[in-house]
Amino acid sequence: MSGIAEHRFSGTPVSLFVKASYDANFDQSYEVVTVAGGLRVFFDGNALSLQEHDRQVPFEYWLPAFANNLGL
Amino acid sequence: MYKLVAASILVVLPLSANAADLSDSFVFVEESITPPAPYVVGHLELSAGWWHREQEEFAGTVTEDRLLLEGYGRVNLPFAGNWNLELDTGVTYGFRDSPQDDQVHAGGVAHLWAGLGDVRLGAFGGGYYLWNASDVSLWVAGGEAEVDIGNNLTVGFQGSYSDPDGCGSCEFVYLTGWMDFYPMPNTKLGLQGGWYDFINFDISALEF
Repeated sequence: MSGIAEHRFSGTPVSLFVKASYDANFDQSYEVVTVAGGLRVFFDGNALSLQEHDRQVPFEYWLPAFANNLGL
Repeated sequence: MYKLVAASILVVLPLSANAADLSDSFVFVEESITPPAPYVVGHLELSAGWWHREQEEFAGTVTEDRLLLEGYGRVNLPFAGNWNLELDTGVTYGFRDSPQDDQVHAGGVAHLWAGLGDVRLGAFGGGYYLWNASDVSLWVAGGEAEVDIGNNLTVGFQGSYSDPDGCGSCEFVYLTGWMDFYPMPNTKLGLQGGWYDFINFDISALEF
């Protein structure tokens, strides 16, 4: 599972976020933990809130963490 | 803004003895009308972090730490009424002890989706390439949905099928769901959980 906290600075094209994730298989013989921080730069004329922007660009696809091990 | 202007007029009018005095009495209120958002909107996302893995193998538990850099870009192109095409692409770079062992995956998917009031329904497809000890290309296709519940909450679901080349029969399905809570329009608290299963391997795993 993963979690994120993000805040967009009002009237600017920038937000900052921190996120963390934990991935494991059933018997926990494989576990991955990630912690990261970053920023988003929005191209919406500063006319949208973070929530409005997320509704207009709603979908993301992230490779699952275990995909890093494919082929190893 | 109109309410503010009207309120100013209502306050000023009683102070004016006659029409001639009105021009001296009005308070000029600067209008700050927010321009509409552009037709096409998008964002760049950059992050840096730490990646830690523990895996039990025959020789014992393998522990690995990496610096992780990610860069993603997404842009949405509305067309034909409620229909939209969202392009979603990026790269993740994991630094290992030896540069030749660094793990990189890069690629992108296209999301074709329709907005139906508070609901967004879509399908997506695309590909990723993974550079690691044994390079793997991976095709993915799936469906997705998101719904707004009230003013502050959005929940979503995504299911996909992936067919990697270069790692034998390691096709997998991946189901994930998320909840984004907006206590304020510019603040988000999000949670996501997922489950995957290799179709041809006797391996299944749960992301807690």
